[in-house]
Amino acid sequence: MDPIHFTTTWENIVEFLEDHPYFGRYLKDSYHAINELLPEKNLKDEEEIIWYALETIKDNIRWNNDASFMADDSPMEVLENGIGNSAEINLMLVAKLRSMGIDAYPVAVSTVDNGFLHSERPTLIQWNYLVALARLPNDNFILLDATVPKPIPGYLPQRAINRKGRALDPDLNSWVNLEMKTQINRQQVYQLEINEDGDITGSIEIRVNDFGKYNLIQQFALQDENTFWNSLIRGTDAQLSNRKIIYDYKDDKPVVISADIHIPSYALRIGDEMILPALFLETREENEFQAEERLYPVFFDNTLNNITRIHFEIPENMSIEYLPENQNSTWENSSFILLANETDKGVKITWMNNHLNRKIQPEKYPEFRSFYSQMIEKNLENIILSVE
Amino acid sequence: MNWKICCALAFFLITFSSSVSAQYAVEKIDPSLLENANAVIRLDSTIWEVRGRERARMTRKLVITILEEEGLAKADIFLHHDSFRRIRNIQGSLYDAQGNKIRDLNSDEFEDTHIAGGVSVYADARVKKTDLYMNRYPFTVVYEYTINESVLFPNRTWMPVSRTKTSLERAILAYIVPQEFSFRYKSDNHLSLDPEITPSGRRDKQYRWELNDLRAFVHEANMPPAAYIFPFVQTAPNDFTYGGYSGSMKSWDDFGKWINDLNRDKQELSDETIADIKRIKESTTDTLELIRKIYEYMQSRTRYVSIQLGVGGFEPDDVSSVERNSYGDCKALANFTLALLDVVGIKSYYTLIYSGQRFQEVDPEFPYQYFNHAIICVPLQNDTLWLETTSNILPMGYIGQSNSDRWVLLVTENGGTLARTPSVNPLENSVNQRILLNTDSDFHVSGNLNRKFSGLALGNRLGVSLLSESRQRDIINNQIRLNNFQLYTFDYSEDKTPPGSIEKRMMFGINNYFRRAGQRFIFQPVLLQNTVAVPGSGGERNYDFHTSFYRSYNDTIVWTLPEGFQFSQLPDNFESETPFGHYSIRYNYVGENRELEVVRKFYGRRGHFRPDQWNDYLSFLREVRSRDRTQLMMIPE
Repeated sequence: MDPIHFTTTWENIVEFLEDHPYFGRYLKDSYHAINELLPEKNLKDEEEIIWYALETIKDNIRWNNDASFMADDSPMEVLENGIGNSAEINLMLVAKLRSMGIDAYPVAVSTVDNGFLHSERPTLIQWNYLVALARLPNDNFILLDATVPKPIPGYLPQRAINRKGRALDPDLNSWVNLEMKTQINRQQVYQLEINEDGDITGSIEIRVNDFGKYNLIQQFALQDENTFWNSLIRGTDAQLSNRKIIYDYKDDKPVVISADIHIPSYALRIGDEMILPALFLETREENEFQAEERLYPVFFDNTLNNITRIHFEIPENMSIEYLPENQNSTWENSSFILLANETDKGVKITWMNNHLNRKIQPEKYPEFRSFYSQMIEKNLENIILSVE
Repeated sequence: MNWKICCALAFFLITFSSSVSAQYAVEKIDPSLLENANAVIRLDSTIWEVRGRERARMTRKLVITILEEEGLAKADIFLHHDSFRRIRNIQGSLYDAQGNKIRDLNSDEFEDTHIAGGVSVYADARVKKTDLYMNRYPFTVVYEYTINESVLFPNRTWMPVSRTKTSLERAILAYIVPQEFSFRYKSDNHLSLDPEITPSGRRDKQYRWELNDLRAFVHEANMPPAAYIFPFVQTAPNDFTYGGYSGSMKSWDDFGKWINDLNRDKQELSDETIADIKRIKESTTDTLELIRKIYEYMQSRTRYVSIQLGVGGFEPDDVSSVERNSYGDCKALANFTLALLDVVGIKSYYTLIYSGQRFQEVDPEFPYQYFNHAIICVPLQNDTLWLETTSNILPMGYIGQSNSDRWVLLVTENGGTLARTPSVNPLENSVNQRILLNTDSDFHVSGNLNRKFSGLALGNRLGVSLLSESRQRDIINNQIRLNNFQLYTFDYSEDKTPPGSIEKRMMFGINNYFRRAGQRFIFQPVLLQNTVAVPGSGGERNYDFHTSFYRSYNDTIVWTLPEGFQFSQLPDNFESETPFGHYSIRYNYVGENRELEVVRKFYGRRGHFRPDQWNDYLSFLREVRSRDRTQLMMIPE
């Protein structure tokens, strides 16, 4: 016996959208507009086609900051004016991909600001954004969003990463996990020398990859480079020179950020001893989780895997009085490790911290808070040097 | 039409349009105007034709080239209009980098919307604005429009460039006025902009200002407000009419008389209110106490709501409206308060002021409509009391930093006169703090804080003290981000005696505040005090800079330390007195009590400083920050 539907069904929704002037018919009309106004290129490799389609749409239509699930204007108007909302851009992307032989589908999204889906029942009112989904050989799927300055296949902007979306197409009518690529992988290496006055001179190199690379690339496209460099030195009197940012946004290699650094009087001299923060610029003093309890979960924008290596070279007339004890702590899918070792030339500090859960439920919050406090305490450790 | 004429006409039109469009080609911009710019104003032509005391027409053409996406917002226009100022014939066009026309703007791209603003509940002011999005840069947008005004109000400042990263090729301001029409003008900032005055037609004369080839200003930290940086011309007619009320602005006295006319016969209170005030008078013989009670009566009966309608932007509502509705805007509430004080024979003045942090100071030599707010001035025998009537919680006499230290216009029965609100003396606006900290043998810290905010330092603490306890607790926890901080108890108490104060008391604990390094324990003795932020970086600077400190901080922090430990070394006491402020920190250790007392004083000075003083200013702030962050080391005895 067939089920009785008291509300509508997903099939009905898809059927409704297929003929809708601001959705299905917009998608169909896009083919004509694409043929008329967009360049063509004969490509065979699926990955190349996806990159090409993404860039072509991004180069020809600029997002007007309007998060929308439906189009407002016709495809011709959108292409002629060169601006569009999220639905206009990504439906056009779906059309472009299909015209080049790639199966692609529109995916409805509720943005982070719009809130979680409050129901999995078939409904249209929860959706306020649209992205695209392309099918690759071997039935792998890849998410796409051409609204950002530098779109990269597989990555969505933070605003769209909100649990799951719904592919709404006659050929694919199903839930889609939006949280597939949220991991930031980050490595910092500092090669530093310290003198008797507590001045620090040396070099820094930071490598950021995956979701971190994607975010950084968008940030570089939208803001002054100085803003980025100022955020690195965190309010210290650091002077940076030979600043470089190197990346190719199409490959899977990390963004490499490097600079020479000099900070006068960074370490504190007390008599014959000197206090030096073990984690240098990576030291975090603030603990955001001061409330004793929470009613709502803690959400992190991303998962994180972070490694910091700091080599402090100390002059011959200075010696190590104290190094932090090594420590290793884990709570559920979060952990931190601090290793401090004496070397031939000075000290090597290794700090690793990660969190692989984006969400902490309120009942787990006290444990999480305790773990987080321990992590902050550990990262505030100092190295004590004596000066002869 | 003869085909030869048609061809000639077509050729002319094509040639003309080509030459018009070619002039907007980006390559025609002088390279010096592209430096540090994300937009170039190619032409800003503003022509005013004054037809009488109540009629004027403005014709404007604005051509701006946007070089990159960062400058996109500069392509939009915002044109205010209302019943006295109506926009006609607005049109716009877009051109590409080569100066070829892309398209005309549609009429629906000029959005017309109501602007009640964040405060006003109702206003007849509207704005016509654009919100352009472009995909390709550079591009040029051309706007042309006409505005008809049925008022000649002296509130016009011409500042063709008012943002950084914007350069200017050419700007023109012209006034075409009848021969007998007189008005005043002044210009400022870097350029002496004297007008060229020529006859215009048979009966008019033209005043014309022109500004050419202005390079882009680059943003620097702590820049003064726009009126101190960018060239401008201010114009003000001597005589004017607004909403049927005629007036003169030749002098502050004249302007005050006009305001007086607007306020006339609007202070007749009801018998009931008069009876209330007389009852209050019977409760005290002290004048200051009487004023305070009347002020609090006004605060308890009313609330502030902004209503701006035509001349209502200047004319207060009658007191009966405030009595009936229990609300009013700043003008109505000031007028109401004035009427209440008058019942008991206390003289006070309706006072116009510009309220806000970044403002152009009134030029006493140039009467002009600088103001956006109204307060009350009560001259006393030995002092002057100022009353902010739009708040239900401020103590009497507190007018806030936004109303302090500036020229205001007192509206007396004889006309207007300038006066000055109290200057900001940091020593009178203080945060005094005493913290007692006990460290046990496990190095757990338990603390007792008493912090008193006085004068302008009250700031938004007034609002916090009125919140629920749980909300206050959340705010305290969010503000203090020390690791392992636990708030045990807290409370607030308020003293409304002028200048007013709020006291906050707190008991708390901190685990692991002392960082262990082997046998040593390291800690920062200056606790729970946000140190200064150091803006920008050093180096050469082009413009003056502006500081806006207004509070002083006096901290006494007493640490009782665990037995068996001593300090390896205490820092030297330090004191620094500079044009930018004062900082001192003193350490006093009494070993037998195991007590370390740290006394810290800091205040910055408000001021306007030269570019060559910038590095000294940064050095002062860095010294403060470094001293605040000093750490001490304890070792076993």
